Amino acid sequence: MSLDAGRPPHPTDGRAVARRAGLLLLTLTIYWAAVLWLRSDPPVDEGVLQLQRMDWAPATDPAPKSAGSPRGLPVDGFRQPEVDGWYSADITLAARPQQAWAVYLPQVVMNAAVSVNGRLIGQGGSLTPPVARHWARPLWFLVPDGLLRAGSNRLTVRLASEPAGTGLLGKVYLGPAARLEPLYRYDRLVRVGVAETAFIITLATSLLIALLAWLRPAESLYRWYAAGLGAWALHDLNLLLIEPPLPVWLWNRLNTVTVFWFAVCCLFFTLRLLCLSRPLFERTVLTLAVIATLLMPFTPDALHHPVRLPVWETLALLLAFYPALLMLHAYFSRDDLEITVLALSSVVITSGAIRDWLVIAGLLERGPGFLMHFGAPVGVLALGCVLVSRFNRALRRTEQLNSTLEQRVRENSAELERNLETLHAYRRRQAIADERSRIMRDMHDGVGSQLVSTLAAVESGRADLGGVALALRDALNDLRLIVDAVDPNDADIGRALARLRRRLDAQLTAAGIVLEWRVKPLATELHPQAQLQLLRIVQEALSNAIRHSGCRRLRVSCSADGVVEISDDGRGMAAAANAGNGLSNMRTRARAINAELSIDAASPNGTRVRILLPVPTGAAAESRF
Amino acid sequence: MPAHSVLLVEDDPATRSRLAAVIGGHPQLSLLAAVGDCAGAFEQLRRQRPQVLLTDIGLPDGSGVELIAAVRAAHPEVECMAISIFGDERHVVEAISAGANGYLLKDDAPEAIGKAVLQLLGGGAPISPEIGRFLLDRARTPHAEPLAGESPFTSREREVLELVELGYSYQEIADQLGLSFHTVNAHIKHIYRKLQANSRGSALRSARRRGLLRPVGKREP
Repeated sequence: MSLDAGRPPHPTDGRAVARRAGLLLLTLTIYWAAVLWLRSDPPVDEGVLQLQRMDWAPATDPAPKSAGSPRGLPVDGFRQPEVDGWYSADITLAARPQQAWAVYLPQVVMNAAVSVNGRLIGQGGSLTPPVARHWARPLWFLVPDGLLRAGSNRLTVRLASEPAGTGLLGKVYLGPAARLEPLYRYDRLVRVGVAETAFIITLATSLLIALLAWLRPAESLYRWYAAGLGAWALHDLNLLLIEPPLPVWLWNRLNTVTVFWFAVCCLFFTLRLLCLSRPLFERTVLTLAVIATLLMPFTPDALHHPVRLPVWETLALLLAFYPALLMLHAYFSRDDLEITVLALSSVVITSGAIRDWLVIAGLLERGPGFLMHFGAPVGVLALGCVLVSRFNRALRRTEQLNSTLEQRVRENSAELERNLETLHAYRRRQAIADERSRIMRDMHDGVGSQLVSTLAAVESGRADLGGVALALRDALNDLRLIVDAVDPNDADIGRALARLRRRLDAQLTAAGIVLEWRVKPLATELHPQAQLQLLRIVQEALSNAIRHSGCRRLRVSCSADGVVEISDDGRGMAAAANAGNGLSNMRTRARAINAELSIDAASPNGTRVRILLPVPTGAAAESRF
Repeated sequence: MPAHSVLLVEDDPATRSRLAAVIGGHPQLSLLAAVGDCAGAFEQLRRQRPQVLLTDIGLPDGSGVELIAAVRAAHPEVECMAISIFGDERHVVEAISAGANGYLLKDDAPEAIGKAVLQLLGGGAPISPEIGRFLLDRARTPHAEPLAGESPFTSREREVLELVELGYSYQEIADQLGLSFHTVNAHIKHIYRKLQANSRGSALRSARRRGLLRPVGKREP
C-alpha cells in the first residue's frame, strides 16, 4: 500500500506502535464490553417461567398439534432448516394466578402469535405475506384474566418469517406481568430506542454533510460520506418499519443494496481522506457495485442463501474491510488525531460487521439482532470529532493568515512611507537646488553684472557720484524684481507690475511725468522666470522713457490676454536708438520667454514698446528653463 | 507753519543716519530724536511727545510692533509708521494691526519718504500693492489664522483692495469706482481699523509698564 499523502509518514518506533495497538485494543474492548453488557440477559426473577424447549410442528399444519418434535430454544433460521411453524409447551401451575400474567418474547424474527389454552392472546401483526417485520423488537402479550388455571396449561407460539425459514425464536418467558415488564422495557429501550435514535442522527448528519458537500464541491470526500450515511439511514429503516413501504422482494433487496453502497461510500471517503489516488481501482469498484446492484433482483431472497451470502454479503464486507485496513495502516504510520479517531471507529464498526456476517453465515448465534445498526452512531461521532477538529484548524489557520497579512500590510505601509519620505526629501532638495541655481543665474544676469560694472567704474576712478547712485539704484531695483519673482504663489504679472509702479513713482514725480496706469490681471499664469524677464523688459522700457525720451506722459497697460504696452509722448525712435545696449537686452529677454517684442513710433509722437506674451504662457516658459 | 516732529527708531546706523538726514532736510518735518532701540524710544516718549513715530520692526531689545501698540494705546494722536524691507508684508500687517497707519521701505527714495509721512499727517492711510495683496490672500485662504480682531471685508473694501493690488492710486481707484478720493481713503482706514480691533487691553498694560501712562488714580500735577 503506497501512502503518497501530503503529510510525511510518522517515524514508527516500536513504542509508538505498541501504544497505538494498545489504544486500539482498549477501544475494541470497551466497545464490545458495552455491547455485551447491553445485550446480556438480565437475571430473571423468581416466579417467572423460562421455556428452554418447545414442541414444534410445521406451519403447514392448520393448528398446533398436541405433540410435535421437541426443539431447544433458540431456533435460528440461519443455522437450521425450517424454523417457521407452531411451538407448544405444557405448563403446570400450582394455583390459578391472582395477578395479571404476561408472555414475553425478547427475540423474534420476524413475527409471532401467542395462544394460551387454545385462545389467541395476541400477535405482532400479519403472519401471512407480507409478514409484519420485527428484527430486534421484543414482543409482549398480556394473558387475559382467568385464562390461566391451576394445573396444566398450554402455551403456543406461531412463528412466521419472510422469506420463509429465516426466522428466529429466542427465549420464551411466562410470568407475572409486574415482574416481566421491567425486562421488556429495558430490551425495548436498548434495541428499539437506540435504533430509532441512530436512524435520526444518521439521517440528520447525512443531510448536514450533504449541505457541506454542496458548499464545498471541491472536497468530494464530504459527498461520499453524506451518501454513505444516507445509505445507512435507509438501511436502518428496516429495523423500524413493521409494514414494509415497498413490495417485500424489493424492500429486502434494497436493504442489501444500501449496505453494499454504504461500504462503497466508506471506501471512496477513506481514499480521499488519506489523499490516495486510485482512479482505476475506483472505477472498477464502481462498476462492480453497479453490476451487483443491477443483479440484485435476480438473487435468492434469503440473506444466507448459499449463492447470495458468498457473493453479495461477502463482497459488501470486503468492501467495508478494505477502507478499515487503509485507516489502520494510516493510524500506525501517521501522527494525526483525525486519522486516529476515524481508524478506531472504523475498526469498531468493522468488527460489528464481521460479527453480523458470521451470524448470517450461521456460524454465530444471532442473539437480539444485528450489530451493524449500532455502528452508525460510532461513525457519526467520529466524523463529528473530525469536523470539529478541521473547523478548529481552519479557524486557527485563518487567524494566523490574518495576523501575518496584517503584519505584512504594516511592514509594507511603513516601507512605502519611508520611500515616500525619501522621495519627498529628494524632491525638496531638488527643488531647492533648482531654485537656488535659478536665483544665482538671475543675480549674475542682473544685479551681479550691474554691481561688477559699477565697481569697475569706481575702481578706475572714472565714476561720478550721481552715476554710481543711479547704478546702485538699478541694482537694487533688479534685486527687488528677483525677490518678487521668487514668490511661487504670485504668478500674476499685473501684481508684479503694481510693485514696479510703486518703486517708479518717486522717479516719475521727480521727472514731472504723468503716469497713465491701465493694468488688468492676466488670465493665465506666468512662470516666475518668465515673469522676471518680462519685468526686466518693462523696467528697461520705463527707464529709457524716463531717462532719455523727455516725455511728459507715460502709459503702461497690460491686458488680460497677455499684451503689455509701454508708450510715451517723447522724442520717439531717436531716443530708443540712444538706449542702444538696453534694446538688444530687451530683445534677448523677449526671445528667452517666447514673447514677441515690437518697438515702433507712437502717434502723434513718442515710442511704443509692445510685448505679446505667448499663449499658453506657463507651459511654454516652463519648457525653456 | 511749524514743522511736524518725528521720532525715529532704527537700529542700523547707516539707515538711521540716512532717514534722519531725509527727515531733518525736509522743510515740513523736524527730527525730534533718532534712537537705536526700544528702551531709547520709551525713554524719549516719557519726556516728549512726537507727532509721528517712525520705527523699525526688528529691534535689538524688542519689537517695533509692540512699541507701536504701546504708543497708540497711550497716545492715540501719535501717528505711527513702520520701517520695513521689501518682501516682508507679514510684519507690516502686524504693525498695522498694532496701530500703524502706513509703512516705509528702507530703500525708498527720499522724496517718497517725505511724501508718505506728510500723507499720513494729512489723514491719509497709505497702502501698497503688496499689503493689498497680502490682505486679499488672507481673505481668500479659508483656514488662515485670523489676525487679532479681524472681521471680513465688505465687497466694496474688496474691490478697493483688488485695485490697490494692481497698483492703482487712490485717485485712479476713485475714478474707476465712481467714488471720491476721500471715500477710498476712508475704506482703507476702515480696513486698518478692522485689523486693529481688540488688542487695546494688553497694549495699555504694556504702555503703563513702560511709563507712558501714569498709574491709575494719580493725576498730572
